Amino acid sequence: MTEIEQLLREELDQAYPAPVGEPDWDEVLRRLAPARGTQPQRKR
Amino acid sequence: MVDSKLHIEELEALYRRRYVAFVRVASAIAGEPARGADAVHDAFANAIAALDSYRGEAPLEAWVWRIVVRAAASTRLHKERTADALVPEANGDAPIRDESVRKLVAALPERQRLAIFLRYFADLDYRGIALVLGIEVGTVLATLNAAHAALRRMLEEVRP
Repeated sequence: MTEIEQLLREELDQAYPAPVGEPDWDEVLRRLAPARGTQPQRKR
Repeated sequence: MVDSKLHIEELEALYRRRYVAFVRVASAIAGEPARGADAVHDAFANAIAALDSYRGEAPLEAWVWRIVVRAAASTRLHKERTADALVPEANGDAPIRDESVRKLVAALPERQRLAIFLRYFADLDYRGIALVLGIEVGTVLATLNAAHAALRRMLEEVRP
């Protein structure tokens, strides 16, 4: 990694912190359901 | 013929494995941290709905990144039209310096900005970025070099 890449990574890490929150696949399925006119289904 | 069930399971695995990167890139593109997860959820719902159009010519992850970038950019466009906001919102009590960096990045041409986000937040290699942005690998290199040069100049100006 070059010096500018290292510097940029540090600056960007501070300016754009990693998001908080957990993945929520059910939320994806909920958004899909209205478009398809179906109920979301979880696999078992 | 594409096996949709298999791809949906692959999409879920990709979503879980790369969630933080997807949300981080989407938030940066949207210019609003709170909209990042929203854009990612919309994008994955769109990806499932559009699975029939996936031909396997590019890796599934690159195909999904395209959809995420489009969803996040759409959020940004909507925001610009409704609020004339070009600079990302601050994270509450974020230091002024961090706001300056966000403004510098926001001032870059769109392709440079996207390449920077995909390189640094998603850790995509040049080929991966090329697939997502639909450009040649050489163009990715030139784009990142131009972004680096511009940001280095601008950072030197805001450095204490």
